[in-house]
Amino acid sequence: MKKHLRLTPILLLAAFVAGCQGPCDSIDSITGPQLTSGTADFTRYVAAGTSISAGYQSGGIVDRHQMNAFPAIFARQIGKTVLQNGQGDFTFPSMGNDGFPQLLAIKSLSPLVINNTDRTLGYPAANYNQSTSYQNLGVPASIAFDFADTTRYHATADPNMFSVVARYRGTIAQQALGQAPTFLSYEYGANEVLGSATSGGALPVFPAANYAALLTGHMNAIHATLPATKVAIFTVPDVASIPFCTTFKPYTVMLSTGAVTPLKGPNGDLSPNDLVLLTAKDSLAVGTGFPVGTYNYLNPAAPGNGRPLSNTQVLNVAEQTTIRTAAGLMNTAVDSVANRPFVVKVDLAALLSDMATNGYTVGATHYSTSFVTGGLFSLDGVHPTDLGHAIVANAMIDAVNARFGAAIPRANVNDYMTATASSARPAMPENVLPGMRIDGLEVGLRALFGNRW
Amino acid sequence: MKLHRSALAVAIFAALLAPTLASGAGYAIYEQGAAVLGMAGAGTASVHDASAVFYNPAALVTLDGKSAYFGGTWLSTHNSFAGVDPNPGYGVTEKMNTGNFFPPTVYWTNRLGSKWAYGAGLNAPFGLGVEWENPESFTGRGRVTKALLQGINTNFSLAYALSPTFSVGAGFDALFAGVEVNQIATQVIPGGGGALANIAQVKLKGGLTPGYGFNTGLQWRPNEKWKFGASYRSKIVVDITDGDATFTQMLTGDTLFDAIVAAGMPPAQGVSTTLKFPAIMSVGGAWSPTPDWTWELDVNKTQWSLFDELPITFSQTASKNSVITENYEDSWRVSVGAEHRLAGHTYRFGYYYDQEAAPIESVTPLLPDAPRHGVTVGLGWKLGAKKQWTLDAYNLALFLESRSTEGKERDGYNGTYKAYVNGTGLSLAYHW
Repeated sequence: MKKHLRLTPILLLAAFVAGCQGPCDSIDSITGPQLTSGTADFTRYVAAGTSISAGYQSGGIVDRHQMNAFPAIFARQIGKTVLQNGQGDFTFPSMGNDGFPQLLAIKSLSPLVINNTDRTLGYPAANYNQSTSYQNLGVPASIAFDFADTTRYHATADPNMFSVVARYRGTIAQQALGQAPTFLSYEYGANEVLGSATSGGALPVFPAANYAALLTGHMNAIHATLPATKVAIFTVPDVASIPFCTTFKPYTVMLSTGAVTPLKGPNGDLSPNDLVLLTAKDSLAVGTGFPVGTYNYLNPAAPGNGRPLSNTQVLNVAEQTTIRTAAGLMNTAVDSVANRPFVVKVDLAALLSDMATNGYTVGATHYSTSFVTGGLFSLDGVHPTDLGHAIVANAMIDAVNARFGAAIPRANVNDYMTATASSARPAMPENVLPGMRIDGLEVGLRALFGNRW
Repeated sequence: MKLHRSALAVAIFAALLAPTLASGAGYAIYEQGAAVLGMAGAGTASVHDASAVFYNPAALVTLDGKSAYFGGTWLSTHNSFAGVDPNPGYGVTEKMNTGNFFPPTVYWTNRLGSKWAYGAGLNAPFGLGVEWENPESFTGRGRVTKALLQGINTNFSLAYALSPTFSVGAGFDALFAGVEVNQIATQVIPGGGGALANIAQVKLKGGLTPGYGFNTGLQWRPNEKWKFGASYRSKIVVDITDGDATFTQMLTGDTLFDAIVAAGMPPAQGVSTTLKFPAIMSVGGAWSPTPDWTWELDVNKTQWSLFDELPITFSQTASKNSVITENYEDSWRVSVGAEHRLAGHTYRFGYYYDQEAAPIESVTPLLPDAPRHGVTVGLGWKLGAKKQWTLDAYNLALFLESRSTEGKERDGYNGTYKAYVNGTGLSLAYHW
């Protein structure tokens, strides 16, 4: 009997192990931190801004990407229901079909052809007749001036981006503030310099002093109207670091000798720091810009013909300096209002600079700002992909959390790694762009910069 | 003798076939003797069967006559993972297939007169086995979907009694190590919004390759009540130079993309690596307050700092070469166990705490190391007319502490790992 008593605990333990309840069960999933708002109030969120806020991507706006624009992601993280299939309380002008304008798609890999032919226009918005203003009031091509002034809204024939978003219902400011938002994002500044960059300096930079005055005036007006409302403002990124400007090298390398030969621009040989824009693709494809007989990195079958690239195809160092100087002054203006208690600064400039220099790593996967292959920029070479938007949204969340003691959960970037930056399913290996033709690019650019200031 | 030869052959065959796994810190396996494991592995001082070849060769002189020992453990593993943001994200859970592993133990000992004894053994003191469910969608597939590490050790040890109470032992080890790592290569879909496509199954495999080391031990038996022991097993470094790397394309369904991926696919080629098996130091003290009870406390230190990196070098595609940083740290293990010898049988029980060896940055899907708590129970019987047979059995319930990567994992794959291992072992020895 004594023996059996001694064995009892052993047998009990053996029975426990055999059943293996608890230890053998899989781990429970982990839920993220709960939303708290700190000194901010996320009851009503409205976004005003540019094409970036609008979710413009691959040359147009379309519902599939509008719902992943960074303001939409931010709205989702603060508990809003983002419009999808006609449902939701964070709304935007929902463009169906292939978008407005139709988004670019990769049509062929060899040669690489990107265009938007045969795609279906998504205009007008499915919810054009929505009785209330949209919560996302981002207007592609808009500048700070447009926030409270309708002058440029109707400078071009309808449909244009202003008629799509503002719908003749007053200024963006009126529609934004009319919703009495408790939180507002105000993202302007990029287009003040972007048009100049993508036109090779042909378009002027919007005067930085005017931007500074507008920004200060808008902040004063917002705070006077809605004293409790918090406002997120954004620094102006270095638009010369986007793939639109960095994809083509200003030199070619002779394969036989390894000799580096500069391409030819309107004023002679390009310097190593001049930028050849994506719009030079058709010229490059026939050998223009390459000195006579030199290797054509875009289309080896057409060696250099010695003709120079045009002024609008090259953003030279002086033009870059003009743009960077303006952006610097604009960011000084952002800093000057960023210390107001109701304002939080989101450093979009630092974020893009970091992505351009270091790329972005998710797990063991490295993303870069390379055109087509990098994963961060869409097919227009200017606007971020869904993943890029998630990264911007997280930068905004971090800034808001830090500034207002809030705890907004960061978006999971994995949820925004979509298979395509357009509705096609494009594919290319890294850094191989033979025979590239981006036929539709000008369509998107016209939509963006057709109406000049 | 014929019987024992064939048993050895069977064991070697089993060892070559059977994957193994880490049930100790890092990729160590402590399950090398059913009787000692009944006491949670606390046997450096009191080991009194043929597993002394592993635990302390100096104790070989305390074994009478000859013995042949054949045993093994069935290890059943349950591993799972819950992710956090930003990667792979809150709400994500992953699970390994339940693993079943059978590390074998085979020993032979022979006493030569009153002062000398020798022993030989084959066991698997190191190993690793991971296999994640649903590999094509497993969120850590870029690092590993399935991995196996085997370390099959053969040993010959000699022991000498310097006095009736003090003996020393030393041995020579040949460790045959093999490794296989499977991954799925992914690529950012060009023109996409950041999504990844699976483009290739990558398999790196190195066949069993020998590395050499030594082991030493000493045992002091001052009186009937006390025994003290110490042992040292040297590090063994195995250079695998003739591994095979194969890359099998996974079609995405996009024929143009697939054609370009195919053009860039590396050829099947050789791959080399260096596997590092650390030195282990053990000291133990055993107390027998009465003739039928023994209690032992052991402390082990494993020099895991040896495992600083895992290089992967391809014979042709140098651009794919990599060095996985591990930066392991030395780890300690404390075990306490007891044995009660009754007339009809013996029962044992024990507990050990095994400190983690991997720094938080190296807690990965390949090797999610964590602190372990092992609880063991064992039973033993002497059988046969002359009690010439010994049968021992034990069960180990090994609880790994749920370990969070605290957002610091080297490749940004963060979350919490949970694991449980059950080990059931049996050994049969014959003495004459």
